[in-house]
Amino acid sequence: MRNNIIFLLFIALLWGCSETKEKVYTGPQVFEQISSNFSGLDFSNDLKETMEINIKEYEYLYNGGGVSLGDINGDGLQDLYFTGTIIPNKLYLNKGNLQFEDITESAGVAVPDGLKTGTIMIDINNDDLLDIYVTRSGKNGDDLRKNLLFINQGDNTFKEEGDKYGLGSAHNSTHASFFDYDLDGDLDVYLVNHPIDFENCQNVRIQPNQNNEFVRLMGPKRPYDTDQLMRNNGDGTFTEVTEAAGVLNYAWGLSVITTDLTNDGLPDIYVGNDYVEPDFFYINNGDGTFTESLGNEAFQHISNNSMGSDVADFNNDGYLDLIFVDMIGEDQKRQKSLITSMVHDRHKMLKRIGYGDQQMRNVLQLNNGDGTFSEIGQLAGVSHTDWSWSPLFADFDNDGLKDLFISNGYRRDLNNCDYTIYKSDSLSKAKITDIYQYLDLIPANRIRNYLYKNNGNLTFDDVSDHWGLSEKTFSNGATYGDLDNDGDLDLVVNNLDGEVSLFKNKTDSLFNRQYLRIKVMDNSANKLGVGAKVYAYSSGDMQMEYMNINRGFMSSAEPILHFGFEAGQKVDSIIVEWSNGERQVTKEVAMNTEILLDRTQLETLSNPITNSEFIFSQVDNKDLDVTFMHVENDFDDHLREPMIPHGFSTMGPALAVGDINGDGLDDLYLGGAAGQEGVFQVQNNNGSFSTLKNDWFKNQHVYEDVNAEFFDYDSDGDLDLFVTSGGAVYNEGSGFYQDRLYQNNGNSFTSVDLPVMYTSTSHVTPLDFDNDGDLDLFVGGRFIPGEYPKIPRSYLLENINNTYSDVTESKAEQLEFLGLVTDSKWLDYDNDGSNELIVVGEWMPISIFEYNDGALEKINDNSLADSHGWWNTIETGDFDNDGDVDFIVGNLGLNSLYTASVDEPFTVVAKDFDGNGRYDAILNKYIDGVSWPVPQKNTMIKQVPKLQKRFTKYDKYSSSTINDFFEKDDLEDAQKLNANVFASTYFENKGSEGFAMHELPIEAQIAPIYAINLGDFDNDGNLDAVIGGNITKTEVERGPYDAHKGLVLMGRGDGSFDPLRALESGFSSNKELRHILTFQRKGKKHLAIASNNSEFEFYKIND
Amino acid sequence: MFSALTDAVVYDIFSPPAASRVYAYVALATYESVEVYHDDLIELSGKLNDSKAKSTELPKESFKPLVALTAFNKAAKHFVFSEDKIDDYYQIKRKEFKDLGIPKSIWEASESYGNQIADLVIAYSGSDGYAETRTKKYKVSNQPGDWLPTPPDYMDAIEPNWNQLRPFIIDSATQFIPLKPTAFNTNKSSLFYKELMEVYDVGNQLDDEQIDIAKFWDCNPFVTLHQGHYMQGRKKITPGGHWMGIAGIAAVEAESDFFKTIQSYTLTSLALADAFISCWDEKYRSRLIRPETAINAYIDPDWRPLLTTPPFPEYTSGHSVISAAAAETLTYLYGDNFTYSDTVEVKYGLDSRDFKSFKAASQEAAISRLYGGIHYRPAIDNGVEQGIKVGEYIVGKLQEWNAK
Repeated sequence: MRNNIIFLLFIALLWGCSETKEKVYTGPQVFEQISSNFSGLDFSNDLKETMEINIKEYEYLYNGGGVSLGDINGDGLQDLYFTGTIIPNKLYLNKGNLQFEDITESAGVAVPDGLKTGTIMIDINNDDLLDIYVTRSGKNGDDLRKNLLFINQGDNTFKEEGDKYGLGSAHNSTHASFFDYDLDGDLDVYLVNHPIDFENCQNVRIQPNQNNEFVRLMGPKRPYDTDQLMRNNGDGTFTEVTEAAGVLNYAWGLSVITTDLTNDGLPDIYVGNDYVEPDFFYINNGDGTFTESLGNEAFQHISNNSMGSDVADFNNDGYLDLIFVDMIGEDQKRQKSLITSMVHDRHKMLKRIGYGDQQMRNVLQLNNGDGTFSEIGQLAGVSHTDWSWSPLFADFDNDGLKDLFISNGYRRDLNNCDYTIYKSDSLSKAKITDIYQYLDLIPANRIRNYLYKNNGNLTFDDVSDHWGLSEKTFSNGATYGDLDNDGDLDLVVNNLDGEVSLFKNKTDSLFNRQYLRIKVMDNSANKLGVGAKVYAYSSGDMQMEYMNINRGFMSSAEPILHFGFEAGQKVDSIIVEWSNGERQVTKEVAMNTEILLDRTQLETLSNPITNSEFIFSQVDNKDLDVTFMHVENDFDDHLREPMIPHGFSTMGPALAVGDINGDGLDDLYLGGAAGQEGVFQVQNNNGSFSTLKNDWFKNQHVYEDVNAEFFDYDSDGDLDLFVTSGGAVYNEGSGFYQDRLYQNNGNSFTSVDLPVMYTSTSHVTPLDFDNDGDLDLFVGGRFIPGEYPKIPRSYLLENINNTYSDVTESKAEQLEFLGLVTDSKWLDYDNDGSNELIVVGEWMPISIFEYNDGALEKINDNSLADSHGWWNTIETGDFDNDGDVDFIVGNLGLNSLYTASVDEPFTVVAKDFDGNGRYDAILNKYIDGVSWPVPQKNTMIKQVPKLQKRFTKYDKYSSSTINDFFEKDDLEDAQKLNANVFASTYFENKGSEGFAMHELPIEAQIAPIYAINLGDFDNDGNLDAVIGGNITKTEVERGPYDAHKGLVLMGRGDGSFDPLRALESGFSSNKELRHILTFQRKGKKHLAIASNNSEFEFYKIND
Repeated sequence: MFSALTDAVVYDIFSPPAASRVYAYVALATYESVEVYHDDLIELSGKLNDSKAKSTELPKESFKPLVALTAFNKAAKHFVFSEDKIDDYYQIKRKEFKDLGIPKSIWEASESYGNQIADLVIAYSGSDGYAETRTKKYKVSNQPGDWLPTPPDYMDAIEPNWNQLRPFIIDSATQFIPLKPTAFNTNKSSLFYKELMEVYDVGNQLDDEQIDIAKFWDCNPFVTLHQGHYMQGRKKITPGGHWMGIAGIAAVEAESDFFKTIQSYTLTSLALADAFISCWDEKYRSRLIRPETAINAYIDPDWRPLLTTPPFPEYTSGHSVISAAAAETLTYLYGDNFTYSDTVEVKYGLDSRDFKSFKAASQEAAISRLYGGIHYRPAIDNGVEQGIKVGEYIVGKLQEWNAK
């Protein structure tokens, strides 16, 4: 009975409903929706489908229309133009006070024919009158597919001159971007086009390479498939240069960003592509050509079905960040009942043949300023916004931080699993005479758009409802601008089968804030200043706005840059950087007004002097003569265990530092992967390294080295080596998991017997736990291959006359099956004169053991009770200079779909539920107050086939928790673990008060941390930390963790830190770091970096 | 009875090998529940691999159709996912029998016996290794010539461990290993390349008859038609399901009684199940690349076969192996030169086709895979041979058991 009560409590704790603890917005409603009765904006992109024109014939029919914004008549009021998919477009003149007049007919811009897509207002002929470009698509003939260019006649009428300008392309276009790719001062055009063989959109195209391996085949099938690049001839005409420029391609492009992404001053092109084709990243070569470079690792992963996009500096660091939206929903129901493209084999195959690492979610690519991007959409909280179209960064509440709007919705849920698998079959036999016979079988759900408020710390809060965006719609193109000239940005959204949405921004009356609106004029051939970056400096803060006309999806924004400021802020100076790199400055700018930055009127700045003095500088491996590379063996953990959150086969290599030959120079041990023996590198006087010859060592190649330590186990004055054998490639109980001890014999090492330890272990900590003067060992068990998360053995090995004996059971019973142990430290944390063992691990709290009465016993520290995390590594030091030792512990981080808190823990429930001899680990995560199983149905069925019977339909699965999966009895004896903190954390030692947990800076949370090295690198007397991590061997539905690029946390001496990224510290790595150690070389302190499947890397620390 | 089972199997989208297992155990349960009542039916329990002879006490009186229905119902519901599909049929039949006014004691005894036999067969199925075969997945390799997932869905390889399943009658999955497939070679003068070109050329010049044949024997349980993000599913009977249908047609054509009909289904289903085990063993031994993948890589990047390529390695052709094995078994039961009209696919929108013998039908099923663009010729020829061997062996065993 008592057990039952405990069980029930546990269940309640684990997955009972609980209050969500999200920060709730308490401020005023920023937007007010204005009805069309008042505004006159009665445009509704109505779509009547017929047997000839319908979604089955042409899938992009539901992509909807765009909207462009600009003052076409120079009256100071922004006018609006909407495209209708099959109905005529409309142009509305802004009459002030958010009232509009439909002047479509008199203006001559209706375009009743063809399938219309994007629109842009641009002054193509630089006559100070905004012209309108309209793109078209569809299965019609050339004439009805031609893009149209409406030239503004200056009297509210327009004349179509697309062909005259050379911009009447008949390709299937979705949008265009105007930019100066050749830096000749005028604006060229990139057209985003797509093929129309939609039946092939998920088929990869392959060709053999020299090794007869299949690689991606690029290039168009038919002439009309490709995107196009149009060069401005400088005389008002354009010439197509697609092929010569190297951008001939084949993909369903939906949006494009044209800006310098490589920091070389040349505008590059990034195209977001739908379906299986990956995005294009065309790097500008500076000679009129581009090189497709998606594989160059600037972007570690990309969105799968890339839709609309936007580019802006959302974190105010002066570098332009990117967002591409995809189509996965936020709630369980939609996530699990709509088809996912994240399927294991398919995903692996696509990666291998060159289709990139595509993730089906929105990606927010944070620009690191050094040519790399960190994808942080999940950290930011903007990764799941359903079937999304138009992301727009803008400072909607004038607080100096750009917020993010995302439009979404799709006319019908074409990708509903139950429809495809159980309903649609009836259609293959039915005789269809009315298209709605089958359209009506497909579920249709209007959903609300998203508005995210920027928190200023790389994260956003969803304030959609709080700010007044609750309307449910099928939304596509969208734009913003100050439509009522009150100093804040209003929103306009083009909806399918519904009137456009107009949201009036009330910031001017709600907040005591300021604004500044800036027009930029580059030269007579680029009067809108496209490509200009404007930096506004105010009392130490900086904001940057970038002038690009094409925005979001199929749309364009007002050609004005809008800045917001808190009350009292003053703009000290404004620097504008023109697209050719020239910089100009203006000072003492008035607030709450609109100004023009005219290139002919401003003072030119010399280029800034860049600081090249870094704390760390990389040393070429050639200088060290270290050529050994860690080559990871090809093992797929998820073939054995489809649902484990990450693999265990990429936890190496080991790295150890020590003077093995007693010559006063630090030597190295570099570990190998399974199938590769490690090497001893002996340092020479000149700072180079020689490999220690050791022939017998070759047979040690079977082991996977994950951790190594040099210490003198036999007290003979030289350093011996202990290597832990880990990984996952062998089955449980394999002898290849035996850890190894190598005795130093002067110039060679020989193997020493250890007790049987057939466990995949994580690390070894030498310790004299019994104070008898020799070194005993604690060795952590990492996991049981094939049986995650069953608790493996850990080992306490006592040194008895230089022989190790397994005394775990008798002297450290609590350590024997402690958890999935990753790391430990032996030190005196409570200043009581004796050391304690601090152990961390996955699903484990920080655990402390002290030696009492002949055994190591756990200390109960209440302040650590809620410290269950996925801890990977611990380092200790006095960060707040108060005389005791604090901890920095690396965790999963916060850039993950997995979330954990004390009230809403992340859990795993495990046992062999279906008795097939395989341990089933089911992860659960809280969403909206309910703990939901993480896996998609198909993955779950693969792991627990018997559930197929319970969940034939996806609909039922999508609304079921683990309590619906199994009977109560079945769950009762299941293994249950939980995590309530995923942030990498600074544990402040507060003496008798225990520990206070502080999240490390947000920059440290963008990926898991696996390696930390401490030191006072800037000699300010405060302890700093070098940090690395990442893991890409993860479960396919969730994706890789790859955002760390090398981070240094400079200690301030009070337990807080200043983050320095690679750009600022010189320490840079795109890899999966496992160990960072320091060593001395040529009188200087160096860092040695061990990364998985990589060469080892070295940095000199500059004093 | 078995068409209700087929409806459930189609609805639930069992893969071809998995479907064959469902058919075999459900048929076996039905058969074992009534074999004792007919001299021509021998007890299979105790003869099939690892099985034990029944020791269940026979009821004094029973209503045999109800015994069979009960056993069928229980077993079918155990093996399919959508039990409601089985239940619809079961309730109708049960009501029919109820209306006959069968005495309560006979009714209860019949149901009780039927359920006991079904339980025995279900227990027997529990040790066939099925649960264990769920646990390991196929690893897609980098080797040239190795199978890769195929368009448009690039599904994971189906049933890579099927050879670890216990067969019913043949000794083991490896008892009838076919000849090795032609070695993968991209040299234009190589035999492999010629075989590849044959698939390409035949596929590009199909006549109407060939198209009809290919579609008739498509038997792909689930094909998705893509139009952008729009996916329309199309479900069909599996190859094994098609032959279960033929077994039913043959029984009707031969005016078989209730017992012979069940025998027809059951022996056919056992032959199909063993043939799948034999074939799948070879598929994951040779792991051969599908013609669609190889043609796309070496000849024409945008070529599509007439039929959607099924998601598993190429060699040998499953339809060839299982059709040949089923034809051997049906020929044993009904003789050669058995003329019939195959109406199985009418339900799936295709016209019926007439055949002079089961073997002729099986040969057409085999060559249909070349027309469909999903197999090279050796997978067909050697697959037929493999299937004949499986079938002959099974027939030999049946004769041997009958003789005793």
